[in-house]
Amino acid sequence: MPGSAVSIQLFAASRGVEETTATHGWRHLLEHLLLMGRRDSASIDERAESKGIFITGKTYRDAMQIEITCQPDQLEDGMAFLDELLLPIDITQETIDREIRVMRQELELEDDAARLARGAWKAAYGETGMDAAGNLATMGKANPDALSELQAKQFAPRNMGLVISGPLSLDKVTARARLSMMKLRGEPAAELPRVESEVSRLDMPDAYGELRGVRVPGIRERKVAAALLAAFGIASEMPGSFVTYTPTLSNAVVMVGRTESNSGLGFFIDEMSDQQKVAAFTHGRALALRWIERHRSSPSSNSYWRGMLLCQDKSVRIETLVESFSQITYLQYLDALAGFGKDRAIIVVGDRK
Amino acid sequence: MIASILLAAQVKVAAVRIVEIIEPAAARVEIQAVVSLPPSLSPRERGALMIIREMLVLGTDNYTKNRLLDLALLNGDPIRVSLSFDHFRIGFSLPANSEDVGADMVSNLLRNALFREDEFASALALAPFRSYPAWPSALGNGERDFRSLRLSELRQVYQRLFRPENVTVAVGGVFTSGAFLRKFADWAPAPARAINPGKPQELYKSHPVNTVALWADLGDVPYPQLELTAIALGLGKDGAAFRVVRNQLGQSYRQEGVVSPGPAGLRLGVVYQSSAPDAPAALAALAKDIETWSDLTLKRAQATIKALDALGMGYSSVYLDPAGPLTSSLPDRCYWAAYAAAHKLPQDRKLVLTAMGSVSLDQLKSTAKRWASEAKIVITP
Repeated sequence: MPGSAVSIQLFAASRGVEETTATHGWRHLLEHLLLMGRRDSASIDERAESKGIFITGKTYRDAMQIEITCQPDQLEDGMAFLDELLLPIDITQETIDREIRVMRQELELEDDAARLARGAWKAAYGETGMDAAGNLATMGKANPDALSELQAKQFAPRNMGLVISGPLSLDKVTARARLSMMKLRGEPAAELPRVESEVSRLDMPDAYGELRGVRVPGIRERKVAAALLAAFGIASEMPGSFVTYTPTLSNAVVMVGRTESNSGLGFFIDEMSDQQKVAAFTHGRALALRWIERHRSSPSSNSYWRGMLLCQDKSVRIETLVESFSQITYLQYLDALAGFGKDRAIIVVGDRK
Repeated sequence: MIASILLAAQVKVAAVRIVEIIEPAAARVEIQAVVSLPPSLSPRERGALMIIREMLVLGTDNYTKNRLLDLALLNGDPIRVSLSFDHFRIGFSLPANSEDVGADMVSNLLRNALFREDEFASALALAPFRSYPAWPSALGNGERDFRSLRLSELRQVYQRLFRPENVTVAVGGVFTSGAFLRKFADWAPAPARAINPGKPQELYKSHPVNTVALWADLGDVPYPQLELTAIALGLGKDGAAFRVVRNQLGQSYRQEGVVSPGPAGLRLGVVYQSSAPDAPAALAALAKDIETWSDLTLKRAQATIKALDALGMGYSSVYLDPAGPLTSSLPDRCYWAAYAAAHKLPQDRKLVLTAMGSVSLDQLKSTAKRWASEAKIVITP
């Protein structure tokens, strides 16, 4: 794609290593440790940043993402850093314990929107919807051997997606990418499916605000686009609202929320006039298309979307969602909007005093 | 990449500053207005500005709320309104060549916002319960007080501060020059008095962590030197704050070197969030780290900012708007140009970047050392 940036993004699907109560947060911990590099070489960050190359990582429910951003003439440097990050981790228990100290700070930064979203996932899918951020006590039980084993399972070839976006020669990039991916070995463990829960309302004592969510199937289904359009429509009429959705082929949640105590979000949704519904349809479609256009317009966000889907199933494309946004009829939108109503939605209310 | 032609012109008419940045490849027109605020604003005036921020997009004499939203959403983005220590920002974009509509919209927002009684009552009732995230709060909206604020006072603040001599409008993208000059030519509002100053008000705290800011007022340091020092202090995983405050002391997960407007002009800071902060220890450790800075530190900082610019990743150390750092998008480049024109800084980010490439290690270290010796600890609980 045009532009001056190259985004190299590696995705390792969480298929076979999904969060459980015994390992909650281990993938997140692994991500932190991977990005520290190996003990036998100088700081990977110092070496990368001195060349103007940036390395970041993030752990989602469905995948771990490692991103390397560089300029087009630095592709080889960027790929060499990626190869280094794919080596088996080289850590001590002391390193783990020290990093958990930092992760404690990370977890405490969780904002109200993230807390409400965590609640919505819990309500929607119970333990199979557990967040990727993790639990400090559980992470404290991790050790170097267990994390090495986790790395081997998660980084099995069938779980991997590598997306490289930027003004590059396709043939050259493909050959270089193949070189890195060929080194991977192993098979993922059996998948743990995400199972719907019966819960429809959750009060969260550690959050502030209000959220409405709807359970949606994988991204192939048009229901996802309709729910997103409705959520953006609601948000367009309620200043200060947010919409959350992470692309996945598994069951998921589309959410609209507002992090204010007397947010009025639920009341607004349940009492929307016909005129407001029409306005929300027009504005919601515009916002949804803009949202997806933004994701496609930069190498980084384009790679994120494609990689998140690629590591789960290579046949799914972001374009499916764009087409669906344009094709949703008013009646389909109204049905999706009703999904956010008090009788059908997942309702999460922040109750912090 | 399609080459863009950048033409910047600054013309002063009727005291409103207009900055024009013509970029034929942009396919849209971006409008960013900055209203400069005096450093002596009272808590009550800041409180009123917070309510104005909520209400401005609810309608003007010529535009209903829906009309404003419809027009802004032609390009997909709602109108952005924000409040910083030393300015109020209004920004939106329209399709290319919509300069007449754009000039009329921004003029209406700056001069003719409606502020209806019922909407004011609703905004005022909600204000104490709004979520005020810790990071932007620490970067600065200043102390505020909107208790028992009256609509007449809010209108008075609007009239007193939203005046041509305080306003800079930057317009960028595809448009015909001159529309904005014409639109503001007749703006001559009557003077308005200051309102009762009020007292700082406790606001709801949305984070269970503390935000620590180590601020030093360094507005007299040449701007490129200031920004490069912020980068060396706290941008990237090899920045001093990441290595020292996060990795060495384990005090934080998020930590940044920041240039941001403060009560006495631009200030340099290291800002971090922690549930168990020991700010004096962090400051002392950073001061010790600065002593070890070498050519590699300078090289990394310069390579970082050069790469961020080349990659279009923005300028992560520059927080004109407390809500987020400056990006390299056209709206933000217009925002920077408007702010820079109002504060006599280089309007073109490329010039800032070039000047950062000429900063020496001595200059970098002396600015950082001055920061360490003058920094004041401010903790936002």
